[in-house]
Amino acid sequence: MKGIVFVEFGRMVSLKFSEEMLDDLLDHCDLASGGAYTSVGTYDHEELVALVSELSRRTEIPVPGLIKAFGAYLFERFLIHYPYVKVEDNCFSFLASVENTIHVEVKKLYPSAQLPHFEINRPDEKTLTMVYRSDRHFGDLAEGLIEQCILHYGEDITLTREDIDTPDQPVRFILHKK
Amino acid sequence: MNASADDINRISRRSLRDRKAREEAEKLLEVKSLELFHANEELRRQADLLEKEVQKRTKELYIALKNATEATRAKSDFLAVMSHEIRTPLNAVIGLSELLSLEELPPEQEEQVSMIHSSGQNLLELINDILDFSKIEAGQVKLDIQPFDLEKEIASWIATFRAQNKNANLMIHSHCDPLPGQLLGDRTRLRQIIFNLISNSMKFTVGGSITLRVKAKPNTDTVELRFAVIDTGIGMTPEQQTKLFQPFVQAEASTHRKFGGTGLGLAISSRLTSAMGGELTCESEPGKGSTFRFTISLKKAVVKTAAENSPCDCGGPEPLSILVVEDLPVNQLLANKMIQKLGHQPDIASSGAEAIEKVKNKIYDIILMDMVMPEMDGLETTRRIRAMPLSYYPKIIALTANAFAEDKANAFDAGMDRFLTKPLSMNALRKEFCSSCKDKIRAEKFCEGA
Repeated sequence: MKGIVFVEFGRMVSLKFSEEMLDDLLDHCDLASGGAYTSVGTYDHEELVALVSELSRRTEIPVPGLIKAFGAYLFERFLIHYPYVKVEDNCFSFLASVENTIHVEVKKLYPSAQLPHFEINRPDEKTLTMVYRSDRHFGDLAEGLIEQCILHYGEDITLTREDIDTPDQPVRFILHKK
Repeated sequence: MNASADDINRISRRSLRDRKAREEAEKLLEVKSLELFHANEELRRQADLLEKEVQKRTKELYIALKNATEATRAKSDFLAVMSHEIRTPLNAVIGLSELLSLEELPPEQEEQVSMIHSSGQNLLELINDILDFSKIEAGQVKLDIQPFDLEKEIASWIATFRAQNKNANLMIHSHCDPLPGQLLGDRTRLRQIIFNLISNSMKFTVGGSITLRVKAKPNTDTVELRFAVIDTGIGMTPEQQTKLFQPFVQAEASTHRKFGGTGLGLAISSRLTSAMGGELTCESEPGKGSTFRFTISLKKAVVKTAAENSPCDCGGPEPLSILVVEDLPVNQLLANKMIQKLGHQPDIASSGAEAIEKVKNKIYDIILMDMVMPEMDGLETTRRIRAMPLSYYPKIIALTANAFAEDKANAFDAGMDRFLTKPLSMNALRKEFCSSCKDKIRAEKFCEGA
C-alpha cells in the first residue's frame, strides 16, 4: 500500500485524537517498517490493519466506523494533494472517472501501485453502481471515500451498500439520485 | 517544566522514527533518481537512433528522388530523340509520296501512292498521339494562347470531316451560337480535342448524324463555351463508360479489331480539357448514341489581328532566292523537289557551317532551317546569321517535327521568323513564299501589274 495512506492515517490520528495516541499506536504495534512512514514509500497493508485495530481497541470505536471515517478524511486530503487531477462537476462523473482517469494518473506516479478495481454501471439516469474488488478488502474505506464525495458535491444522493457473498468478497455500492 | 522520563523516551522514539522515515525517503529518492537517469539515457539513445534513422531515410529518399528525376529526364530525352528518328524517315515517305502523286501515273500506281501517303499520315498521327500523351502525362503541356476566330475554325473543322466522310448515310452538322469576335485560346489543342471526339464518333456511327454544338454565354471579359459532340451511334454501357478516359483502354477488346485506334484519343482529350480548365464528360446509352461534353471559358481577344494564313492571291510566283539548310539527303531532295514545283530554284546547305558560308556570298530571301542537325543546330546557325553584318536579312523559317509551344518560343528567341511543321506540305510552303512575295517591292509590283 502506498505510503501516502499511512502518512495521512497518522496525520488524522494526530488531529482527531493526539500526537501521543499516534506514538502509542506505532510503539505498540509490531510493525515491519518500524512506523517510519514516508509518503513516497510502499508498505504492507497489514500494518494499516494492525494500526486501525489498535486504535479501535484504545478508543472503543468499531473498526469499520474508523476505516469509513478515515476514507472520508482521505477524500478531502486527496483533493488537496492532487489538485491537477481534473475534478468533474458532479458526483457521478467524478466516481465514473476514478477507474479510467484518476487511476491512470496514479499509475504514472507509481507504476508499481496495486489499485483496487471499480466496475461502474449506469443502469439509468439517476443510478450509478460501483462494484469494488480488492485483495485488501477495504470496502469500508471505499464507502467512506464515496460518502465524502457525495457530501463534497452537495447532491441529494442516497448510498446503499451490498456485500456480495462470493470468495473474492466484492462490495457493490448503489448510488441513487433523488 | 520538567519532562518525565516517559516523555523523553516518547520524543526520542518519535525523532528516531522521523529520522528513519527521512533516510528511507532519501534512499527512495536516490533509487528513483538513478532510475530516472537511466530512463533519460535510454531516451537519449533512442532519440539518437531515431535521428540517425531519419537521416538515413532522408538520404535514401533524396537518392530515390534523384534517380526518379534522372529516369524521367532520360525518358523525355529518349522520347525526343526517338520522335526525331522516327519522324525523319516518315516525313520522307509522306513528302515523296505527295510529290509522286503530282506526277502522271497509271491508275493502279496512283492508288498505291495514295495508300502509301495515307498510311504514312496514319502512322504519323499515331506517333504524335503517343508522344503527345507522354508529354501530357509528364506535365509538359503548355497551352499556346493566341487570338483566333472560333466560328471560322468550326466551319473549317466540319469541312475537313465532311471531306473525309465517305459514308452517305452519315450526316455531319455543326451549330454554334454567335460569338463576340476573336477569342484567346490554344486553337491547335482545341482542334485536337474536337477532332478526337468527332473521329471517335465517326468510328462508332454507321448511319445517322454527328453534331458539334457550341453554346456560348458571354460574360464581361470571357465567353463560357459549352461544347457537345452528339452522335447517333452504337453507344456504350455504363461499365464501358467508366474506362473511357483511361489511356490505352478501349470500350471492348473487340473494338480494336473492328475499329482500330490506339485508345489514346479520349485520354488525351480529357487531359487537354483539364488543362484548359474544363472537364470532359460522356453520356451514353447502348443503341442510342453518345454525347461528349465539356465547358471552358475563353477570354475575349482585345486586338483583332490580321488573319495570318490568308490564301495567296498574288497571282503567280516571283522567283525567290531560297536556301535549304538540311543535313539529310532524303529531306534535301524532298524540299528541293517541292520548291521547284512551286517555281523556285533553291540552294542546299548540308550543315550550319555551310549555310553561313553561303549567306556570306549570296543574298537570300528565305532560309528554310532544319532545327536538328549535328555539330551546329538550327538555333545556333540562326543566331550566327542574325549576328552577321548583312545588307538584307533573310526570312528564316524553322522546320521541325515538334510543334510545341516551347519549341516555337526557342525558335523565335534565336531570331527565326516563322515556323513550319514537318512533314512539309506544298500548301504550307506556297503560303510562306507568297507572303514573302508580298513583302518585297518587286512582288507588290508584280501583284499590282497582274
